[in-house]
Amino acid sequence: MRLLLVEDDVVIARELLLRWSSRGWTAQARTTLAAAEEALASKPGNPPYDLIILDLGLPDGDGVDWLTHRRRDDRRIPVIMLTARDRIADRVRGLQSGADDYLVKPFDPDELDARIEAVQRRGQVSRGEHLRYGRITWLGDQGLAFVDGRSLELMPREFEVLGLLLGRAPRLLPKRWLIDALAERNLNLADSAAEVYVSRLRRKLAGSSATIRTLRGFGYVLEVGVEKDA
Amino acid sequence: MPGPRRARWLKVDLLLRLMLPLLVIVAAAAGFGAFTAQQLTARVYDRWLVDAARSVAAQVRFEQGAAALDLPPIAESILLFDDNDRIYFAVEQGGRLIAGSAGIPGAGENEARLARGAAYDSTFDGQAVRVARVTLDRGDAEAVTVLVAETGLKREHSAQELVAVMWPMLALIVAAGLSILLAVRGAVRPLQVIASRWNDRSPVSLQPVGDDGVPRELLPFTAALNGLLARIRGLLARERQFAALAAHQLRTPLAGLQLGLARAAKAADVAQARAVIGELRQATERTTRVVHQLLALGRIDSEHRGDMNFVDCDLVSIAEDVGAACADRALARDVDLELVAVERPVSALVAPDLIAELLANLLDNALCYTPAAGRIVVEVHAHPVTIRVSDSGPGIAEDEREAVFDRFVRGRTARGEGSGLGLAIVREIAALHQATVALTDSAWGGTSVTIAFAPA
Repeated sequence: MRLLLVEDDVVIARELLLRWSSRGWTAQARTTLAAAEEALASKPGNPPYDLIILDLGLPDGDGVDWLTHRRRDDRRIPVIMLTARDRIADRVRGLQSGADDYLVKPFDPDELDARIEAVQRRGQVSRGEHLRYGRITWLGDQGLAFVDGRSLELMPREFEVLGLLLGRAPRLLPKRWLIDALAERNLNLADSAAEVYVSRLRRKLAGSSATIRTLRGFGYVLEVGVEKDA
Repeated sequence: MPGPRRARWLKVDLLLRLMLPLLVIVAAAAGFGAFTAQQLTARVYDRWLVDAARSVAAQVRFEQGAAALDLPPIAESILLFDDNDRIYFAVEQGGRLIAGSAGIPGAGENEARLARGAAYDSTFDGQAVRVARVTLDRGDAEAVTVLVAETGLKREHSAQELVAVMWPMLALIVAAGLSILLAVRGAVRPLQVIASRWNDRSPVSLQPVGDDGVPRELLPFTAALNGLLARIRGLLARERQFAALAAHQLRTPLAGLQLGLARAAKAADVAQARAVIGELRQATERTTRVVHQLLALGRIDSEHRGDMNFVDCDLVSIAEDVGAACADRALARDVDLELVAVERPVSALVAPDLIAELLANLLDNALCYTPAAGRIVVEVHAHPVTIRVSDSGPGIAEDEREAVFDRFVRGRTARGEGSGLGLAIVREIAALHQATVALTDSAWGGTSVTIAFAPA
């Protein structure tokens, strides 16, 4: 995975780059929006990035404004905002500007990594690509999913729900997100219908290493056994 | 707001408003008086002139229709004598001059009709004259006209004397103007005295200003200024207290971190160092929480002083968002987190940021004290509008339920993680929304915190 970190704090940038390189991710850091813009410009020497991690208070401008402007012609590269602004209004403004996720400093680095992976997975799900998450294999373009190497017989809507859960794991998929996402795909359904799909999917996962946990009223979490590579 | 350049002087304003009408009134009175006096004297002079003409006419005799003037020379000299003016007369019958000077005009301008004759302006012998005309019409003879002409010196003198009468008026204006000026200055002086008293104070002084010698009309301003100063003093005191508390709350965990790092650096082996660093991680998380809560408190303080931004919100949505943000921690500790909202939306006029902060603190407390595999339930009810967070933790003893709302006070059952700020934040946010906070036992032996909003 290729990451672009836009962060003007040297310590944070150094720690994150060290951390990501040990995970095998390719990351580059830029300290200003102008430098980030240059790194993102499509030139022969610039390979495309998979994800941008964006600090908001940068020396040459505000990350939210920059992203809002950028999103007018490029919606492709997902963005995670990293900021000290912790008000709900800031969070809403950040997500409205086109960010895919928002993390407040100080943060747990493991959580940042988990969010990077989730955002990446979300992109793969929406593009119908193939992905593996723990012991789940998902073949988006073929409508097939496997758990523990066993094929799941899923109806299209159950497959959608599994995709949405994969895009959030290991975090909670808020119920409202699930309903909105299904509605977006023209599946006009009542709140209770979403629960029906989740419970059907849960039944089909029964006995596998994957389970769907419910936080009643809040949403669902996909919990998956970690695959032990032999 | 207009800048200082455009600001008006109260003194100038008052002077203009008083002096202009005074001038207009006095000028009008003077003009009207002069005009009336002029008219009156002119009429008196006209009457004298007509009387003179009538005296001449009384001496006219008729003999078989032909008129003749029987005026002894002594009488004529008395008639024609005047200190200032020259007087002429003529007696005419049918255009023929019978006696006196020839050529006095029989009509003219500005004719005034009197009881027994008329008076008018004309010229005679190259001089401007006022002429009185009396007509004798006996019926049996041709009418006789008596004309008496008089130059205008007397009239001019009297007009000049009238102007002299105006001088006292002018003196009156000056006297009135001066007293107005003094009065305005005197009335405005307290303002200047107060302003300089306020300005002479040390610019950093926030002590109240005295109101002795302040006119009654200005007392509201003094009171408003003192009120503002009191609010600023209160705010500053609060800020100082907050800064002191914040310093203490931040230094303590940082000192702990420092000690831990020193221990880790001297660790005998990697395993020991890792163990210490693991502990430090928890200490860091605690510090993070304290920072967050202190910032939240600081924000409540400033919002409390400024204008609150209340909007119509769905409390269920807020609860969903806050719950989702806390879900990771609940999942990590296998705590069953649940939202119960029978109705939705549950609308209320609130500051959404603050309500989210309140809920986050309630959930944070619940997550801190609820043991693994425990239970936390968030309820949002519409009738009346209520938010309740119940947990299966150890609960708070009844005798502590009041004290735990104070800043930095923690219950006996509190464990290492808390800062003692959570419930203080909850109470202050609730108070800003005129909502009540009640601490009770939950159905599972833990704590239940209920926020009840006042009916709209």
